[in-house]
Amino acid sequence: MPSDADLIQRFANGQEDAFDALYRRHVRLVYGIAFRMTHSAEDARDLCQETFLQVYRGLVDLREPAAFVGWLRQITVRLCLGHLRRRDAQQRASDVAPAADVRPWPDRVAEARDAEAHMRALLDALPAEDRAVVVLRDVERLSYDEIADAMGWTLGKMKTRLHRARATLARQYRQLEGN
Amino acid sequence: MNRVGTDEDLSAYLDDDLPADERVALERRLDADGDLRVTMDAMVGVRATLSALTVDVPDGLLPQFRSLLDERRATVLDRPIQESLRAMRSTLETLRGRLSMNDQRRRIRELTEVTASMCPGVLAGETR
Repeated sequence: MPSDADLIQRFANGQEDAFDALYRRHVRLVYGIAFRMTHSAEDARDLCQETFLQVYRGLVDLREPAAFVGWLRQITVRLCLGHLRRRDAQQRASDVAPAADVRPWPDRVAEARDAEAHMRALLDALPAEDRAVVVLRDVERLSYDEIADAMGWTLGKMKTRLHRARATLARQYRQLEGN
Repeated sequence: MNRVGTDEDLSAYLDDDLPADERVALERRLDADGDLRVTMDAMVGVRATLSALTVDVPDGLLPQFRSLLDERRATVLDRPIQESLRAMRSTLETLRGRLSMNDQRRRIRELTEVTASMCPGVLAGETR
């Protein structure tokens, strides 16, 4: 199986199907991050396509093909965070949150029927960046360094945000368990 | 050693990111402190549930991407052309600047010669 670097080289030499191979290889990673951060299939699809469009534009200029996956993750996370910030800002500006977020988290959680739905509701209640670090660490299993790189943060800041987000989730999880 | 057991300690413990001595101290405390143990278990539970979250990637994303790419191809493929045009424009500007400088030098030289012919000796030191 050709490496990412091989495929990038082929793409740079004009072989369009090499890009398709890269897309197929990494679409699960990109879509997975986008879906877990937005919990919307439609938003995840749009963010996934936008990510790959940016990759398509920048691929031939990528200086370190071996670092492709890290670069791909960075683009994905940056686009997802931008999307969530805009969504949050729109909600604040309109002062009317969409149906999915209009209720306080305990109400949403109380109505959720299974652990997955509970956890999605808890994640949704976190600030966008906290949600990102938790998803990248506890779902995508990235290392601290990789997460700090993807978020554009120092290692110290990344750890602080991760620990804080986990503590928030744990408190809410305890409440749930208590209920 | 400071007393371990903060949220940060628990989270770092989960990632095996605590120094060995703090790890041992925290494990002792977890054995003795029921409330702390419940919080630790909650963190473990959250992580386990998160790990189990499934995502179904929809079919047909690649063909959709290709369609989208075709729609935006002009923008995408224009980019290198635009960059080349910008580079060419910049080169032309530079050349124009040099020509202009040459023009200025020539003009200064002409003025110097005229001045020297009208006022011989005044510019002798400069034109020698």
